[in-house]
Amino acid sequence: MSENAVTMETNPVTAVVRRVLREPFTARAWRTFVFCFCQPFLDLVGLIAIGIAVAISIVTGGLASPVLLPPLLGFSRGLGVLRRAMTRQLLGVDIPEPIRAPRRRGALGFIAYHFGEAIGWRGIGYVLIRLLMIFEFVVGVGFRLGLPLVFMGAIHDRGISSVTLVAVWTAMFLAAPPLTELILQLDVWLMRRLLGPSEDSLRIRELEQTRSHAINEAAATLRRIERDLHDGAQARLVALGMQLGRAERRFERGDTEAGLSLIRETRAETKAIVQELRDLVRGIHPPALDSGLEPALGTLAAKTPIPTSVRVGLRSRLPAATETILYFTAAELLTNAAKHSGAQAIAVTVIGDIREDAVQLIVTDDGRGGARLDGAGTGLRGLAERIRTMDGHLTLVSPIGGPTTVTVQLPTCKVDEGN
Amino acid sequence: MRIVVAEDSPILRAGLVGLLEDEGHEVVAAVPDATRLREVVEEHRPQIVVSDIRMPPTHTDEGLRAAVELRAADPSLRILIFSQYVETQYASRLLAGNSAGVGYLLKERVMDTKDFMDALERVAAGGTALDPEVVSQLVGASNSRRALETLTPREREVLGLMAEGRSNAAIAAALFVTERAVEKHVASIFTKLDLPVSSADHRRVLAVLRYLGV
Repeated sequence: MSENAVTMETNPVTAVVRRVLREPFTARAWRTFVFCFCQPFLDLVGLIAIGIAVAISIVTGGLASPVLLPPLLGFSRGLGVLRRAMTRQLLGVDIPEPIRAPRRRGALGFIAYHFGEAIGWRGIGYVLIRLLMIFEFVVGVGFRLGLPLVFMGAIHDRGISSVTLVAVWTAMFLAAPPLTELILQLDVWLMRRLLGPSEDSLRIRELEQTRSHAINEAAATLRRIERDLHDGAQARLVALGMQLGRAERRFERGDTEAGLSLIRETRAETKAIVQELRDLVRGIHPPALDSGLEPALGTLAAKTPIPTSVRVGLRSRLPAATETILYFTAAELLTNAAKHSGAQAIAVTVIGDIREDAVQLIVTDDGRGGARLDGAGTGLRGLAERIRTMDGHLTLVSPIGGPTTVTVQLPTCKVDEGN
Repeated sequence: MRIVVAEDSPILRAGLVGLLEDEGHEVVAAVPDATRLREVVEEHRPQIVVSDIRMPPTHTDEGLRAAVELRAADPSLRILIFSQYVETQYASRLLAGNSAGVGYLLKERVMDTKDFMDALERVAAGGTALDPEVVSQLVGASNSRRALETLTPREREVLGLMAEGRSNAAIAAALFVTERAVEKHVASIFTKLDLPVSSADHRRVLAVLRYLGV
């Protein structure tokens, strides 16, 4: 409805009447009309292709079917592409492209790829089911053009007055848009199931994506550790050795005082190296985690500059991998909160669900809010990606003005302990 | 000696400068990256450049590329490159052209002040200094293994020291033998490996390195 309609209409009945009168002339109504008009032609093309293939197969006693099936399936896939494009353009509904399974090795793989290919078969299924969808054309096109009426008029020419005819046609014309929308919803539902990607293939794609993310993440982590060691401890140890070498030379020359002062410097430097290695180790696996998630999170909270409370309500210990990812997630969220939120207090809560096959980490702060998953510099997106790798998900609620709540849900049963 | 130091780690840079100054050298500039290295070499015209390989911005082979360029611009410039890891590829690139006055050492070699100073002086004098670790990897990876196997253990030791860029006298000192004995080993090695005999130290090194496939 247009804006002035909203301001002008005070009486709801007039509003409805206006809307009903206007509806058949909207751009949307015309687009659905075109859509419904084209469908039977596509169905016809599909049916003809299937019919020809079946006919030839029967005539040749089934001999031709191995040759005909692959092109028929290919044709069915092509028809699917066309239908999805039309649905997107005319109905504004985006049905994702189905994912074709890669060809497996061997003769069975060949057969599955060319004859058992699911997308093509589902497309054929859709064409057959559409035989029952004639009413889409009748309502979407016929009601608007008054075709059934003309038909009826031709049969019972005498019994019906032209006034009744016009009245019935007008009623059908006005009723067409909402009815069409209803039928199209059913059609879209069917298309999603038969022309869209199957749930398995979506799951496989998700796993492929998260797996490659996990691999990249691991490589990046190793690279970071290598850099930290190279620039940090390793360089410092070389410098230490260098200093000891210099001290040695000074002692050799009899300059004991200078030699001693160098030795003292080296001792201080050794402490710094130990500290640095300790930090690095904590970044790989925090030792506090060995005694449990709660003490580890407690240590983390103590190091956060904003007062942070920790509550862990779990009946048993979680798998090590889950504990580790929860710990690092909490660490990152606390760093974020300390850096961006301006909060007075943060609460960290870990709870298991009733059946103990999932765990939730909730980090809430009373800061200024406005955090976004795609916000720059917060790393929330990377965190969400990492959690997705473990089949979990991260939700963020952060209205402007706060509070910000990040909830991370992780399954616990899927995570193997490994070695 | 007038020396320029390029090293991105501040702590190592400071250590290196301290070490060189302790030994009575003049460090005219110490810089953290290859771009600055090119500038200060232009400005100060040092006798020798001591440079790290991995430096900002990409932390790959900046130092090496700068070294190769600087050498191309001024072949008389001496360069001692050092890195944390052995990369025989780096060594080959550095030695590919004129190898007189070039050295490649591992960082930990710096800890042994005397060895480091020896290498520095060898390079300054127009010789070659290769890290023993680099040499042993070259020997290990050499595609002339079979010929190497004909050498006696002592001869292989001498070959390694030769490849590092040491003179007969230095080899004799390192192995606690007479210079005569070293000469005999060297002659035997050259015969067995069919190398052209050369008196100049660094050309001898070159011959050995070519043989090892650098």
